[in-house]
Amino acid sequence: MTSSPSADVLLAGGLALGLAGALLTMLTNRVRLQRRIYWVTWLLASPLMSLSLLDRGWTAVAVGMTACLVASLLYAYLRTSYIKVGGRIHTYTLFRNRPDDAGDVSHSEIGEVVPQDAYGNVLTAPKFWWTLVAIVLAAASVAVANGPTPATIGGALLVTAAAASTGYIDGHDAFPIARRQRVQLAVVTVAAVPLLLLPPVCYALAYSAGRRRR
Amino acid sequence: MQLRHLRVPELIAAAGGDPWQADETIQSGSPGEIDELANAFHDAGVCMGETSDEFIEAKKRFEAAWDREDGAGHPINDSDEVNRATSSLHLDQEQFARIAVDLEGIAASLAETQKSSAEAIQSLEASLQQIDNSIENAIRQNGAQFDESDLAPLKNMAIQDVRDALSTIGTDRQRYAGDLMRLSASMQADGYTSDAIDNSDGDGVNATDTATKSAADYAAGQRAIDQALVSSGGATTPEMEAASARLRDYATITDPAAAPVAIRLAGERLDDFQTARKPPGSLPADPVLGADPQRRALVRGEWQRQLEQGSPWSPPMTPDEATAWMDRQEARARSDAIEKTITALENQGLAHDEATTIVDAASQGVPWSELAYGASVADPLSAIEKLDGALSSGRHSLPWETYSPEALKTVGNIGRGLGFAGSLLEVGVAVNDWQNGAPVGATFGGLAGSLGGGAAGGALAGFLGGWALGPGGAFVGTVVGGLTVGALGQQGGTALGANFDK
Repeated sequence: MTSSPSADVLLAGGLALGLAGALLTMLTNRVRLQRRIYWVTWLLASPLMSLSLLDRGWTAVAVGMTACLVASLLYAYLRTSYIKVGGRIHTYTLFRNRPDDAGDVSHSEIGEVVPQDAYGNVLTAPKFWWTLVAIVLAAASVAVANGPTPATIGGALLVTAAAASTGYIDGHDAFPIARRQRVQLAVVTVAAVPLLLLPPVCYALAYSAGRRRR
Repeated sequence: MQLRHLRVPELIAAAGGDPWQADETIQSGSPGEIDELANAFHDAGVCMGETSDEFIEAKKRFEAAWDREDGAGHPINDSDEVNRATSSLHLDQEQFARIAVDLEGIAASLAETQKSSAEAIQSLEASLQQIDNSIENAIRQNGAQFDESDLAPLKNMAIQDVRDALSTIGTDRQRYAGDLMRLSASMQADGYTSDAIDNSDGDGVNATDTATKSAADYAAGQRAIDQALVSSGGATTPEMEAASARLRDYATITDPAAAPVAIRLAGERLDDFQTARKPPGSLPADPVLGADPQRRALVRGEWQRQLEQGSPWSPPMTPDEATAWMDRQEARARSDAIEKTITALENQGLAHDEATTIVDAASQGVPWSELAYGASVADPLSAIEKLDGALSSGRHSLPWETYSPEALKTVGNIGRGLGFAGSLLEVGVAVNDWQNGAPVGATFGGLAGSLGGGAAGGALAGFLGGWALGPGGAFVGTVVGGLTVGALGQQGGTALGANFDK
């Protein structure tokens, strides 16, 4: 099945709108304004891109809208501070969890609190370990789906290196194993079976090495 | 001090250090000489506004502390030094003024350290004399000789006094060493190396002695090998050229007629060569720049070669010019890092002096965590490590590795817009693919994996890179992690999503 010319126009229109919105967010440092531009852009671009699927019926349009909604939420949560509900910002990383327009305000004035067991000012320990779970799952899925291909080996090595580095830092900085994120560690271990358990084994070895280097 | 019962060598051995020797090193400095050089630079420069206030402030500190007695006496020829700065270094009048402020700051800090060290010794000697007199009186009153067990409590008091004096002088020396390092880096960043005050600064370290030690180390190991290589004849190879350069540097250091600056620079090159051959991570990292000395030496060696060769945008430099250029870049990075850290501490609510003291101590290798604990300012200091830019547990990058805070912000600003556009484009591509017959599960699974993997990988690798290498590492980790894990996420998401298509 190929798309019709009108569908292409709608899709291109949606993308052009999105690009314009993206350019606009680059022109301002005011988070409130960026947030409005971001959501308005998605609000306008999503129907256009979704309607480009009308040739396949309204169900397809609904799938397109859902994809746009999920993508906009996912991106906003992971990479921005644009999700603000009831005055509270919901975001993935710790360093983005700051009040709007706080770019030039010092941390002490904001009264920012970072948990003791957080991974720097980047992720809380639970989020960091759920992230590890996600990338181990991704690498394991590639391994199961593709078999021993270069992509599988590369993915396995990548997550193993990430797990080993994490282990070394945890040990070196005298944190308990997996910073007490036992559920995530268990999931990582189970998910790493297709990867020959390399990530958890290397985590444990590097953790011991980190302890000795203290 | 006339002691009849206490023996100073015994007290020193029991206390674990010699406060008199530490004081002697400090008193060997000549703050008066440095002050005069500062005056000469001040007169040659244009001092206005804030610079003028800083000079007056430092001058007041110097006048208040100086006892008008200089150390062993290494007279500085002020007019020669100003002429050298004008004709060889081509410093402008504003730079003269800033250097004058830094020199006066060193003079003031040295005079204050000498004063407090002398007071500590004076107080120690008075106390020891008192203890010694007490022993004498007790013996006279009892009319009998005390044995060792009777003397032990009084001797312990004397040992504790020696320890206290050692600690006081040690702390003062550390503070001064921090000041000296910071202000020297600031002057070097302005293009002026403080060779002229090297013998007068009372830090017990001399660039010529350091170079001589490097030359001795070289002579003990590599020199004969280099000599054999150079004498072997045949076509000139890069190794032969490098060996020849090392032999030249060795000859410079051992030449009694060589200029102190040339000896220092030749010593730095030989030291870089020897340090580069040590195992990575075997030496303590630079407390300010955070660089591994072995890696730093390797990088410097490579840059030395490139700068001497020249490039389309930079004419070839002499070996000394190249080394001095690198020193200046490092000094700028060091000075910049220190200033930013002080500013950041001030933003955390610390007074300027307090912030400067903390940074000076940190630049001498005192861990931030200990400083935070000791100074009871754990909150501001821990907050500092969270700041964007050049501050992260005292780890910083060299100029050729640096991504300045401004650069990071700019990159972040551009990245934000591009990321938004990129995510929208990815949705568009997925929609288009699906419209053209691609399976729904694999398509949108891949989309979610790519969006999620990019951010997750960026966060993960950003933290890991930042922990290991500082802000530069965080930046590179975020970019590389985002790309690689994004690709992995896309593949994983596609594989997972494909299960729904069956």
